[in-house]
Amino acid sequence: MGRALLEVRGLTRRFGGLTAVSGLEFEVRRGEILGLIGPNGAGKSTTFNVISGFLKPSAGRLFFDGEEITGHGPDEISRRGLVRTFQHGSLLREMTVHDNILVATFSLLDSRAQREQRVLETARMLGLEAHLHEQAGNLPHGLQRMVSIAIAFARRSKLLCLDEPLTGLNQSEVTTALGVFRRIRSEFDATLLLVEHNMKAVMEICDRVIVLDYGVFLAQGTPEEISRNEAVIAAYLGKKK
Amino acid sequence: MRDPRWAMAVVCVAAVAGTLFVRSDFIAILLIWVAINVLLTASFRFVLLIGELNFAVAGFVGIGAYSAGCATTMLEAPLALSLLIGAAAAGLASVVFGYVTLRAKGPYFLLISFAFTEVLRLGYTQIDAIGGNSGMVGIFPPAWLSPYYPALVVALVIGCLLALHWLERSDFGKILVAIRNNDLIVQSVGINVHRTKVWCLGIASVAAGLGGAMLAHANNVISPGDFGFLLAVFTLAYLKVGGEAYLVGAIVGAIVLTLLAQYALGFGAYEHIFYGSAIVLAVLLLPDGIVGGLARLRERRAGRRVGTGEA
Repeated sequence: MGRALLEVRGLTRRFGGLTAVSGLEFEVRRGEILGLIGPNGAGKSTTFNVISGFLKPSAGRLFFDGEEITGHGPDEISRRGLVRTFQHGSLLREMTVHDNILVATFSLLDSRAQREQRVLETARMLGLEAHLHEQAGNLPHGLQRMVSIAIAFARRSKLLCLDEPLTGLNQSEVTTALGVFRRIRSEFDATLLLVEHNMKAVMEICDRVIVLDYGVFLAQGTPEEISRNEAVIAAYLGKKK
Repeated sequence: MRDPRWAMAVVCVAAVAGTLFVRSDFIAILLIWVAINVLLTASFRFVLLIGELNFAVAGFVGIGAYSAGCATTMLEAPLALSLLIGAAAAGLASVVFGYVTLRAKGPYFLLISFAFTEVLRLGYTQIDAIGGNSGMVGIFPPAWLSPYYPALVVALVIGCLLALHWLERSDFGKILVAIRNNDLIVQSVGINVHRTKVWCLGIASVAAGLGGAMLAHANNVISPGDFGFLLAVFTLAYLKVGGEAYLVGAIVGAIVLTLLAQYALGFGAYEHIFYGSAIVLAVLLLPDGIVGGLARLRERRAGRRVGTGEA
């Protein structure tokens, strides 16, 4: 087994006097589904933004697929095969579902036919093929979530970072989404990094879980280990007096 | 076969050909102003595709007009070269301006672009070599070409409109609209958003610069006051009245308001109230402009037909 797909080494990000993430160390192994959890304000979103290049780290280094990506811009990191989604199911509201997915293929595929093929395959995978020509902003919430995942998945990236992809979905939609995540991993050899507040789903789908608290690494392990970890329980529920 | 492209080609050729038969000087200059205003509005709208209100458009029109004016009066360059210089100067200036400023968005970019236009206007008044406050005179197209100049302007404007239309429909145009919708997503799928925005402004400003160069040769005299922020407000008014969702909206708005404004000239100092009230009325009564309103009307009628058909 070679190096991990993503290595985070001593990552620190400060905003003025506030240290959002401090000395964070972890790695994402090839082919796994890794959960990144922690109470509100734990630094999950900051970590995501730094990994994907939307924020520059204050200190520390990042290696993706064996190469250093510290300080690279988000578009370059995306072209290397690390793509992220955004909270609240961000999408291109005024554009059709088809064009939402198509835009994701521009910097990837040169031929028009290949792009159309990719759009169609991606839409099928996420159950959107019936809605290709509808305006994305008019879709029901659950489908909008699928569109935002489709945008990322259309790139067939090595690493998909999903920022709270399940928020606001009902139980059957969560089940569908988890099925899609598993297929993305098994059929396309993708690795998934997941920030999510739905603990049941995290425990169900993740191979490993990393817990942050107040911007520092708290624990890592399998879902079972994490759910029994005293420090994690204390962070979420407060310490017993 | 009813191919809209054929209809469009017929309209374009008819517009140019019709211009050739105009004998009245007044109508000829009016036609030129209408055509150039259409072009400036289309340029303004092109930058609106990425969601920015580009008040620097007036500045780039000025750069086009002054550089083309200099080329014609000082270097005695042929008209084609002068127009090319005007367009290129505005395009280059806009790329530098855009590279520095396009990291700002929304109201911030609007204010920067407004300030840019005003700084340029004040700058012209301080340079004696280009006429200072009183402006630059004697910018004429060659005498043999004068009768055909209106037709040339109309033809060039149509050419630019077709190019802008084609660009908007292309993949590049889709990326521009995507940036307006959510620039973070566009970055996250591997596209360099800043560079794309600079390109967008550059293309729009080449059109604006060409417009300025043609305007200079039509009016023969240019002065700093022609290129202040009011010019940008006018293009905004044209677009709001015509309907910003469509390129046709820019065309219709510029034609209607430019012609109506000929009456407003009689209001003297109150002329600008005309444009202000046009924007207010359009926003209140026709939120999608004339073209948007017509499109909705047609949809509703088509909907009613479908409705009765099913019943």
